[in-house]
Amino acid sequence: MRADDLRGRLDAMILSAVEHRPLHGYAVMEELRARSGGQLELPTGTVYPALRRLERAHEIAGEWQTVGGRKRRTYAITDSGRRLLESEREAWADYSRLMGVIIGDAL
Amino acid sequence: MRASVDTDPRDGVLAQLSAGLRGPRRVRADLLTELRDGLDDATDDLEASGLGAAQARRRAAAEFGDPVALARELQAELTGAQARRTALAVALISPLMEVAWRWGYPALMRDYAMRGGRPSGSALLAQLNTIQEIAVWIVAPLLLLAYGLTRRRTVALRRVTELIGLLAVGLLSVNLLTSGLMTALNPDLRDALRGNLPGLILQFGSVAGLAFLVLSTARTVRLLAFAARPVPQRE
Repeated sequence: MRADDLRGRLDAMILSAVEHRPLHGYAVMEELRARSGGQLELPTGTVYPALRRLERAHEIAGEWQTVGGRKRRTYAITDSGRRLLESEREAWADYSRLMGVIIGDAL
Repeated sequence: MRASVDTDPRDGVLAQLSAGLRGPRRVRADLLTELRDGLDDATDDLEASGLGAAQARRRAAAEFGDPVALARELQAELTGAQARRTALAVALISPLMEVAWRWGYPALMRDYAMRGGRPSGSALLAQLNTIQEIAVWIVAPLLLLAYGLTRRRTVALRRVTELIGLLAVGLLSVNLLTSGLMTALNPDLRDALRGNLPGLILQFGSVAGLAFLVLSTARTVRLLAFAARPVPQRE
């Protein structure tokens, strides 16, 4: 899948990756790659500006923790982030339904 | 000559990122540490998958993405962080200075205030003082609003950051002009401060507050200029 197609949804993807447990930057990218079955082709650095943007907006909270014997900045979803993720899921479901109706038969 | 055989390509990526980032020291250092960690994690992962150490380092650097483009995205966050500090400082300190100017000086340095520190003797100073008061009470809430907006992900961070820079520069220009003129046109400040500890504290606080605001605003403007520089053309 092309990187440009994914960028607009990156925030929602990151929120879903940290939904159940806090993760550091590279682990977020690994989680997304694993979920996509290896189809995700984003450069690994792409995730860091998005993490900082989400942290500024209080959708996730970052803190330095020791992970596997190393200090890592890990991110956990906030209540506000959960609400945003929920609304992103609903928006995506609507969009997906709509596109299915419009171009679904052509696929 | 053996050139760059042992060079770690990740260092090149980090050097480019470091050169492309300016801003509050702690935030910038945190950011660079996190990026370094990300490269280390990627390298470890690639080595665990069977690549040799040198090849893993090269692949990790290559897959990290364009450091110049990444730095520009991250710079927006750093510039925003500095602008938020400036907005909060100017929005909170300016009204405090206005209160000190209006009530503190007349109370603690009565003679000085009556002879021009407060502009009772000059129509020009009276007008300037009125402009300053109006500017503070209009701009301070706007800066607080802009501070809040930069926390929302729905607004364009760059635009609000520029707005903060503009408001802060405008307000400080008015403050510097009026306070500078009032001090310059009043010969009695030294007499008013002699043996007057509360007055000295007030005067020192005012000057320190103003200096802090000027420095913070200058940093924001400098970062805005840095963030707006042209993108280097790639060969």
